[in-house]
Amino acid sequence: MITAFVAVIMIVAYFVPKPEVSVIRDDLQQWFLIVVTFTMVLGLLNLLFVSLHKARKGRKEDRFYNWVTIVSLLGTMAAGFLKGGINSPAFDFIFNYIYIPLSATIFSLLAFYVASASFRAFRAKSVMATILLITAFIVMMGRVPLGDWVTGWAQGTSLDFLYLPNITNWIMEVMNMAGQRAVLMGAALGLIATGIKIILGIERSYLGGE
Amino acid sequence: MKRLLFTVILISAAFFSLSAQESEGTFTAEDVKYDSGGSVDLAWNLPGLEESQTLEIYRVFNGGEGKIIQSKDLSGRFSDRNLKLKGSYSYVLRVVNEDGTVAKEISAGPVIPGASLFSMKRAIVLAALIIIFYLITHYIRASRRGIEFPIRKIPALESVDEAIGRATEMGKPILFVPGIMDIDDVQTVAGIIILGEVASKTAAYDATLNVPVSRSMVMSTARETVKESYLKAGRPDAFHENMIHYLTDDQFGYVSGVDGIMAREKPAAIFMLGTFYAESLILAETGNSIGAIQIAGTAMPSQLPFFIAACDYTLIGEELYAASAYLSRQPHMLGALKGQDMAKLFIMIILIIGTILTLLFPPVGAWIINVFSNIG
Repeated sequence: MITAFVAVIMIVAYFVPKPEVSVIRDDLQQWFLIVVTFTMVLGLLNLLFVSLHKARKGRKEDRFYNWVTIVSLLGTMAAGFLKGGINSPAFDFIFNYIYIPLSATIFSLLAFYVASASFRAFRAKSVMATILLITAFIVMMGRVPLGDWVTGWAQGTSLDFLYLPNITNWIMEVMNMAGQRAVLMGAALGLIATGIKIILGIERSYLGGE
Repeated sequence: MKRLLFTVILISAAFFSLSAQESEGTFTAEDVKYDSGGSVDLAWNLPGLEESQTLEIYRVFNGGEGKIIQSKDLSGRFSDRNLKLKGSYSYVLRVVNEDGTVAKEISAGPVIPGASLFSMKRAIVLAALIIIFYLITHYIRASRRGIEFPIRKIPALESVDEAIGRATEMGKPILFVPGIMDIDDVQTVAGIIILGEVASKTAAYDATLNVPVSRSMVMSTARETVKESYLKAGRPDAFHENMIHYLTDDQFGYVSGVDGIMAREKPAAIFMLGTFYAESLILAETGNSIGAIQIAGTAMPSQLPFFIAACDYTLIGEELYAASAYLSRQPHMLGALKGQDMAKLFIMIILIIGTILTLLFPPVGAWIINVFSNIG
């Protein structure tokens, strides 16, 4: 009932621009944020207790990492409670010299993983796989200076269509975009259908119901 | 004769006065349509504005005035927003010379910014929603009357049993990653629904389930879902709350945590169903490196290629939302799926008609594009 009531208000607020309705919508969104903030404490305590349990009684190879989690969590909290709060020198140090480099390191793994995934995926095992390989090759060449160097002579001439960056742009803006839009449309319909099922109470398993 | 002469003089005077107005310029103020009532659109056109002159626009309200914009453009538009006080607003445009004297002054208004009861810009969205809602509820009612709707095989969902069975035989855990967004994202809800089905099977097969989450509310919701699944499977003793545990809200912190779980616990089956961003490939490649069977699903078009390249099975877009109907096979869920398919057919027909109209009748096409562009 609560789900349906709140959903109806949000839908009405989208179509009715009256300030009286917008105020109710904004209040509901604020309540959601307040509830989420309180549940963050729940998550924090869960992380602490689970890590403590695993650090004391878990597998030997896991204990070190759980102690690292606990020490990092409590250390960062302590730094945040110091004079200056999140602007204190200790907190700044942790953020700038530990958190940022670690995040950047994990993000940089993506470059290597893209290479390894591409190496596995782009193999000419079938007709479709060969087409995929050729398309990927053209797109990659069109995105690097090498593509411009190899086919730069065609730019601005009657053979402009052979200029690799132009071919790449066409593939990305026409073929790739068509596929993405098709996926998006299907996903949007699925989203609407799931929303309708939740509002009507047909889908209740996410609440622990049938 | 006198009457004719008088008429000619009158018409000429009107003509010259109009011409004078046109050469003086125009300044209009209009209430913005279909908004919450706090904005006024201003437009000016001053063909006679010299380079050395500046125009200033003042807002007049309750006897007081304040400058809101200064410009050297001959023509332009400006939206005066956040007008919170109720009442009538007037505007004065002044053309100011270099020495500060006012060369010209044009007034516009009064305008009372009002809120519309219904945003006509979004009427097309409402119409589409009503049609889709009708189609879905029609087929749900049809399914309740006993009409059966067949569903095509979705390989990713057919392999859920295989994945859980493999993990059970190998004695290794099953890892379920419900995405990195909160419970207000429908993809996360779809992932949690599938988690319920997976939990039923892990309860039946006595396999270990591990669900690290990125949001606390997702943790609470997932716990309820898994607990209910274990209760229905008759295995409440096998459920413990720490199956579903919180890691961190931070994107790459969460990825590091999940990768660590994969590297240390080496799950035999990994489910990644929900909203993912840049971390999708990191998760999928790590899972691939440990030899786990991976079933992924997301409606993010930018992440699908990574899942397809690195995972064994992928649910593409709407298949993620269809999973609950597919796995449960409940008649009303299949009916809703059929309604969704009919809505897709309706949209395809509209697309084809719109494309043909745009090609054959460009003004009609321009109108259609205008209607969909101004939804806002």
